[in-house]
Amino acid sequence: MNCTNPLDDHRMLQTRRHFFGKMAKGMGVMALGSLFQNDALGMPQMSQGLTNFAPKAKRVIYMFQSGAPSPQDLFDPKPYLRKHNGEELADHIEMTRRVTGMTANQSSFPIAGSHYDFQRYGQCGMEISELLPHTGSIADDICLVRSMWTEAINHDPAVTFFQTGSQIAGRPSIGSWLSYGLGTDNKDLPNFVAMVSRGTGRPNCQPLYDRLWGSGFLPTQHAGVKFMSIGDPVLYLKDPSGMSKKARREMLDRLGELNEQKLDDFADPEIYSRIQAYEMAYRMQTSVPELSDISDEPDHVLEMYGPDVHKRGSYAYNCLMARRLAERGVQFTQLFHMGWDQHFNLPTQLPGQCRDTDQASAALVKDLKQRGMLDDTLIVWGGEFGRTSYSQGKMSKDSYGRDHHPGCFPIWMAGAGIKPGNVFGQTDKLCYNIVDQDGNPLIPDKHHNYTKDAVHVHDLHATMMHLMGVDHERLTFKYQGRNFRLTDVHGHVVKGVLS
Amino acid sequence: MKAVFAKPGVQALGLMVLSAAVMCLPVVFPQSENPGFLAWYEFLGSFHPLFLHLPIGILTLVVALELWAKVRGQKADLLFPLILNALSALAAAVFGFIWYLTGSWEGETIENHLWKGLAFAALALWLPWIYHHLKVRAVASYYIGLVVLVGVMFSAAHDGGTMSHGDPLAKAPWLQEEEKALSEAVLYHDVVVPILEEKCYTCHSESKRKGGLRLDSIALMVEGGDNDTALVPGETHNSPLLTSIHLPEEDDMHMPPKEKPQITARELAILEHWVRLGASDSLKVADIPSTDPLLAVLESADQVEGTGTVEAVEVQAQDSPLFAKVVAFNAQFGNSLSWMGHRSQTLRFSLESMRGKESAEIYAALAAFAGAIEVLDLAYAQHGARAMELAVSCSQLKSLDLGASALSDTEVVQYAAGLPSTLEQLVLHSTGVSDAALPALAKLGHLQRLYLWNAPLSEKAVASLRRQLPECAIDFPALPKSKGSRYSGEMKVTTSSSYGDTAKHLPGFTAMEGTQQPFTVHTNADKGAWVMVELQQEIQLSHVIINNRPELQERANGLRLELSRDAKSWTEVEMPNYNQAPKVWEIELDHPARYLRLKLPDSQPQYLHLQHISIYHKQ
Repeated sequence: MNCTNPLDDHRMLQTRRHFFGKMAKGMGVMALGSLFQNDALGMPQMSQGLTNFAPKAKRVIYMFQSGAPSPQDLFDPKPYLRKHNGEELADHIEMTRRVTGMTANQSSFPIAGSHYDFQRYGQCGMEISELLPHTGSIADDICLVRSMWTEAINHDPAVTFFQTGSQIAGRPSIGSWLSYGLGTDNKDLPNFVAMVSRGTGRPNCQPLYDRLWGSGFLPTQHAGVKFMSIGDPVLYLKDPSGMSKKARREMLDRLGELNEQKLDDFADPEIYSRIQAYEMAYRMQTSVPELSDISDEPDHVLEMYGPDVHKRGSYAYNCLMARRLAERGVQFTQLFHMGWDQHFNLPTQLPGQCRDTDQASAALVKDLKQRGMLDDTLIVWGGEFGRTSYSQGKMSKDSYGRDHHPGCFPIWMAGAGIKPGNVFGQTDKLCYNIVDQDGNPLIPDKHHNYTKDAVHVHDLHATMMHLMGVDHERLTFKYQGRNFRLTDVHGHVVKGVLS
Repeated sequence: MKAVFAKPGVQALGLMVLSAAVMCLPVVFPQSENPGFLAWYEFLGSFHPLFLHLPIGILTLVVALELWAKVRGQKADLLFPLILNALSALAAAVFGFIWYLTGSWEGETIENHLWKGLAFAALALWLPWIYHHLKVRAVASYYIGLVVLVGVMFSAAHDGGTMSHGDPLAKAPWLQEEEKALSEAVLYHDVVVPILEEKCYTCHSESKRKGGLRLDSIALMVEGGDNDTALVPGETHNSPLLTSIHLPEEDDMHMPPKEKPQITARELAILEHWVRLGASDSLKVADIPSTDPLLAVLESADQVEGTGTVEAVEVQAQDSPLFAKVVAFNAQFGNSLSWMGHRSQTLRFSLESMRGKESAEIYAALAAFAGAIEVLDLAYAQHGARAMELAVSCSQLKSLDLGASALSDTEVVQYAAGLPSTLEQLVLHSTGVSDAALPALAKLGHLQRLYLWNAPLSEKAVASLRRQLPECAIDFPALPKSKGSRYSGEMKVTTSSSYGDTAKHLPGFTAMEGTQQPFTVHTNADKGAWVMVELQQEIQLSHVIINNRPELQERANGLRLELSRDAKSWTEVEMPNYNQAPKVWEIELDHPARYLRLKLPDSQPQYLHLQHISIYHKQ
């Protein structure tokens, strides 16, 4: 924005005013997926033909399992690991992959077979762990991807990568990109809502930062709004005592006028964002209490989500909220459940994590289905990387732990446009590499070696955007002199998971 | 050695073997369904167009030189061009045959072309020999050979040209019918066929059937190709003929292929309207209702063709006559109306951001868009009759969501018959729709999905509806049996003893909500360890659910539940799986109680630890 040429400066203001004029009138161009893009002269212009396909999904619910759930114990059965329990992993495979500093100096890498049995669920016969019986009950509705991979090996970069398409903090999150590309304003709730719950498996785990649902360089009204688990769901939403509704409205109107003046003077998009934020907060003063009052839910619906649904801030409660948000037109709802980081004592921690999440995750899918909403809601469930097949630290008869393994891990998806009852991709018998259908190891590389069986984080993003009717290569934003995309210069739509 | 090959007899023998081998190729290597070296076949086959033009040119030159020599009374030495002709013909034939093996060519024309081409190569091999050895003694045989060869060549080349470029003779001006006036034209023959002829027939007609698909008759389109039908009359979204054109150009399934001339938006619009109107082969343009949007498209087609320079206009939402009205509507009603897609002229309306409190005037305002609405999301609507009235007026409606709305049997019975035949999905969950409304719904034979969960319907009535609508997937999951209401009042929990800081040992076992502090049940190894719950007041118990500690569930073997109204006289309740404690006990009751006690046997010391206890009661 530091224009040295006053002529350029003036021109930019003119076009931006034009932009805001349109926005203020509530012109439906954003709903069309049309975007403002900058041309070579820095002039915003409307890009045409962003989507040439009607979207399958109207909204996304992303159940993010922070800390990385263990593949070998939950979604990817490996009898071979059990058979060779305790043997050295290096005797079975050349350990070429990077390991974390936590286990790099370990003198031994003993194979840790899972303590949990797998069962076949549904007509599709999907194999899922006995720890997740409720997820098993929706096997015919989900598509299990066993061949995800990522580049990051530690939590924060890996979660940041999943959220923003970059390991380094600062880019817009996927919910913000979709809000920017498709979002409509004038609703009573934000386009993008985030909710966090703590796992019981490992209560003292890595924190999650608010920037994970931030809008980066996109206009701030596209940032995710976090609903708190204690106190007011949205911070400072209640009027202070003594302030009447009318006084609040008048204050906001006067403030809005002042802000509009500044907007006319400076044309800073952030002023516009701020005006929007005040208006949204005002509308949320009525919409949020109505949203979080679950007394209108029948008992049999609450029971589906399990007993925790009555505990505000629990994962089950957040799942119910996600459904209520979806019904109210919120485009992107993201739940974060912490505590999946089982480095040690996995058998005492993992069952608790599964109890927290299993029933409610499945209930959300079932609940959307019985309301006819699963057809246009995209559900994603998964963590940020996989876990090692060797045990971290000492292994005993009763206990083992697993370190981080970015090379292969599962996620599942369901709903709009997703092929149900389907397992996509596979890993080798040691859960070390992704393999092709004939069992040959694949070493995917996002730069040179795209393989259809392996799903990179960028590929997941491309696929999610595709289902929302957005071509990931065309949704761009010019910042600091270059066009940015959620998928950087990578990403392929994974056709194998689409129905 | 050299002398041997110089002998005409030896040469003839060699030629005989070679030409026979050429002619036997299709017999020895038949075309197979799934060729093994497809990539190699495709690679080598692509050399066919490179070589095939050489013999055509060379042979034409030979004939020209012969004539020139005759006129000038001279003799021309044509042995070298004839040998060159023979070699290039052989190469063209072999590469052509490999191309044929890829299986991407099917039909009568390719068979003709194959045999003519091989025959041409076999004859071309002989011609230099005849020229060299027989010209002196039997000059006629050479000229006859030359004429025959030229004939075979033109015949083969004509087939080949037809397949890749279309039949040039078909475009002859004297064969063209006089253009009919638009009003007399038959939609299929005079409007649709010319489009298909120009953009599709080169690969999908009698001469070439890529993917086994032919588009040169309606029956063949419906029959489809190797994988699927190409045309479902009346259903634009299920006809790959149209959907494959809509795919992005980069998509492998996009038609016509990227490098071929593309279907223009106008042509696509014509094809779509034709399919929508039932893909008839006899419908006359004059018989199309004057309000049908197709007529506007046809007229614009004439105009644009007349100027010859204007690019066809893509179908864009912005071009819809409703566009400005949608903007105005959204300004008033919070962006609740959106286009189905960028290239779509149909709309989706949703009440989601004003659910349960929509104004009556929104229905009046929506009437202006009724003809363009494809998806109507009226979940939680408060005006049942207005909602149905609106739905009935939407002639293109595909999906109608009335979930949890104030809809009753009266409105369903009154309006269901008027719902448009385009409707595929109907959501009526959590409404008041009961068995009385089902006969009205049973007449909606066009429905594909119907959601009835949580509506006051009987299993029997829904089963009968399923029989009457066999094509429709009816979602009616059974509701779980009511456990009664959950007890959420105060609870006081006491145990026989407490095992230290239990929250630390059993994270997640915050068993009793309702207690002042989250309370975890974990006693010491007592004889007859127990836990007692005291409720605020006496309630009529309907259900007790007890979650055991999963990894040590056998420790709860022999657990018994006792109830009391005064904590003095206790009644024991029969527990399922008394000797083998399960992960979860679900105990159904109908008993007044204020105190609940769970007790292990007195016989031996044992820990009592439970994950969760839920109590339900009748009100």
